[in-house]
Amino acid sequence: MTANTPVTTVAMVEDDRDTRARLAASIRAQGSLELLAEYATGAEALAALESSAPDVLLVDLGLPDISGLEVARFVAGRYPNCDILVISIFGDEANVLAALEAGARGYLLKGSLQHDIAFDIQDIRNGGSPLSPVIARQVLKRLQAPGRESPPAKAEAEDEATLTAREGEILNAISRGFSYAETAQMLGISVGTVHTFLKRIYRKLAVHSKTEAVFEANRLGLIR
Amino acid sequence: MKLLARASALILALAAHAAQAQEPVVIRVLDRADFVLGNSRTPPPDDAPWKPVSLPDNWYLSHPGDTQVGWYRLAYDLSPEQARIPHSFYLPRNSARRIDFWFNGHRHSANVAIGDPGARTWSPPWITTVSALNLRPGQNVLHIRVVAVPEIRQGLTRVMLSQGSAGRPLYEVRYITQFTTLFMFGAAALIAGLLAAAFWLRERSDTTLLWFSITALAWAVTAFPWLHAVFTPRAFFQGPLAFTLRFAYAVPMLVLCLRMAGQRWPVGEAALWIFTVAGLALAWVLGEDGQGAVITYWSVAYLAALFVVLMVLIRSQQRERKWAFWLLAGALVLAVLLNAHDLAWWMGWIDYESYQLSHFHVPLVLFAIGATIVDRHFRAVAEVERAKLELERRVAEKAREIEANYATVQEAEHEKALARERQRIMADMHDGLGSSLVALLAAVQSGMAPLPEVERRLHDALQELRLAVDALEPTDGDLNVILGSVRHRMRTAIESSGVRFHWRVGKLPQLPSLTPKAVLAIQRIVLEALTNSLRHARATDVTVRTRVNGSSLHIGVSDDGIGFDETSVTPGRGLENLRQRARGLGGSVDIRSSRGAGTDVTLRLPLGYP
Repeated sequence: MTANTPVTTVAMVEDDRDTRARLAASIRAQGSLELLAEYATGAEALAALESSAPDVLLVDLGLPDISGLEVARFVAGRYPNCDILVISIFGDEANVLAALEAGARGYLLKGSLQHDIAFDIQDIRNGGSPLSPVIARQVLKRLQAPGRESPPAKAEAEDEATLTAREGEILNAISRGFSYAETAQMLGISVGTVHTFLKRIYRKLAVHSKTEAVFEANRLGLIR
Repeated sequence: MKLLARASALILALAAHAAQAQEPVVIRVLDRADFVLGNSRTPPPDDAPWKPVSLPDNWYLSHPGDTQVGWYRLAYDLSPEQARIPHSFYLPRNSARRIDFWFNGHRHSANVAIGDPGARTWSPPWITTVSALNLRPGQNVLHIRVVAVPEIRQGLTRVMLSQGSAGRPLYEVRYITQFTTLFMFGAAALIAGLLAAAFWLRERSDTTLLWFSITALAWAVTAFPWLHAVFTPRAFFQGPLAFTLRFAYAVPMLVLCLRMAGQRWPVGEAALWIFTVAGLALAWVLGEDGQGAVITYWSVAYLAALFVVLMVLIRSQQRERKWAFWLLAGALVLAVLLNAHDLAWWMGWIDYESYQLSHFHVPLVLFAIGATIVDRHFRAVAEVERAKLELERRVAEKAREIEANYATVQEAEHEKALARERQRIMADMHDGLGSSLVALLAAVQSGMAPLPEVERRLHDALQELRLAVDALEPTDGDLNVILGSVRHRMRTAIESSGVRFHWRVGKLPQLPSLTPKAVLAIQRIVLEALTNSLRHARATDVTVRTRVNGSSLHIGVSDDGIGFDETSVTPGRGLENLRQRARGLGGSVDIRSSRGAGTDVTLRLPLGYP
């Protein structure tokens, strides 16, 4: 990271002391990152985040008091410019998808090498951490308008919660293991455009999750 | 008792009234005559050996023997007024083969041979009207020539004299009672018999229907005697025919009654049949003059049989006595009484002019049995309906049971699948993560392992664990996603290694039957090959490519690194592991390498897998 790169402020909600210490050390080791605050409980985080938010918030899902998803939802609703990363051991489909729906933009694997955290945070500042193929496929399945074979007549008239043909193509490429750069190249667009599309997809996922609140509740019920 | 007394008083009054009404109709009852045997064509002269007789004259009693001809002479007075109008002469029973009337020396008419030979069994009345021309004031003489068979109770009844056609109602009443009813019963029995036959053809197992049909049809034949009068050559068939007409219905009806009583009595039935056939043969052999005895024996036997059947019925159904039982028992009691009455007449024990009544008993019995059969039929239908409902209920119950069982089995299956999966994960942990950690622990405990090595191996262990989790993700057997996940896991490793990475993965088929175990095996093979290329090959380019070749899938991981000598290198545990995993998938791993020429690891998978 060069000196003229603006510093990215980071806060973290994590109940495990060792993990917190390790993450803090990793963040401090990166010159481009500045650790603003650490919170051990959800309540503590919610109270502190009432007035201001960092650029990036790391949230552990398994907090002792409330779900990390609630913290994510709260922050995502209040600070659209705050990027939320969920801390996960496995980055498994069920938890990550729930996090995406709550407004998170990616996840951070516990136990990553120190330099990985810089990668992850850089990714999320650029538009969101890379989607895994499994999750891309699940999002594709969830948001694809049933029976749609061809792109809609008017791109502007797109549904709030279903994918356009181009968004579908992007998710499809990601689900097949292609990187964002390769996807952009295959579709003849820039990587930035891919990120823009993904942001829109995340938004749709959140909308979709609200319209299917009951389904969501059931699904979360099943996860626990 | 008072009511009974009043009712009987009323009946007596009515009878008296009927008698009074009859009184003025018949002005003379001719019950005295002179008789002389002789076959002359004209009335014998007054000096013939006339002997006084009283009427009615039953020849069976007065002149037993073969067929004979005889003359009666009857005298009656008419006033001059009476002699000026026609008079009718009424005989309650037209009971001889031929009867000729001569009024005051003029031949008038003869009885009509209607119903002969059947008429001899169910003798109808007879009436003739004589014009005033053949009548005279003062004494009139009526000569009657009679040809009769004493054996079958022929003879002459009294002669009732009425003015004009005043005697006609007497004739009508008797004719209807004695003869019209016979036709009606015959017609009804014909229809009932045909219906029963039709039903029996549809339902062969119900033999009561068959016997009912036979009885009814035999009775229909019996009750149409004029048919035989018209269609059969008289002389030849008269004997057997008369016998048949009397008893054609008898055995079937007795068998039917036994069946209704729930009895099968083969010996008794056979005896009846034999008796019938014997009677028929005997009547044939003996002819008209000899059949009286046959009829006598048969009538007695039939009466006895009716009585026995009645007893059987009463004894057999003692337990449950429904209305059907009482109906049939009542009909049989009446049958016994009516037949006893006619037998008494046949034997000459009661008035020769009595009505013949036995022909009423067959319709009575048939009616009682028909009602029972119809009742039984509807009961059976109701029973079937009830059984059907019961069956439906049971089927529904069974279906629920099966569903419940199925759910239980489903659950058990599910439990079993879970258990299998748990076992697999356990085995996986044991072989993969577990052994990695144990080896690591040993290395740390020995204090020989350098820290970066420990860290690297810990990362490998974590990677191993994440891979196991990945294998459980919902991929629906999408090979693209399965391979993509490996790349995703290796992302930071690939990026930090600095190699040029080429992802040449085309559209791959979906194998929904791929198990998590198979997914994990594929991912491990690719991951291991990739890791080798990244860590040890010192390559600048690493490529993953896929190719579908007929019915097999090739997944290749190649690099342009330093390679190794296939022949000189000792087969490492890693390579052997790859091969073993591929074999577990039903595929194979092909490893090509030579020193300085890079390495190419290709996994071949049959697409039919598993």
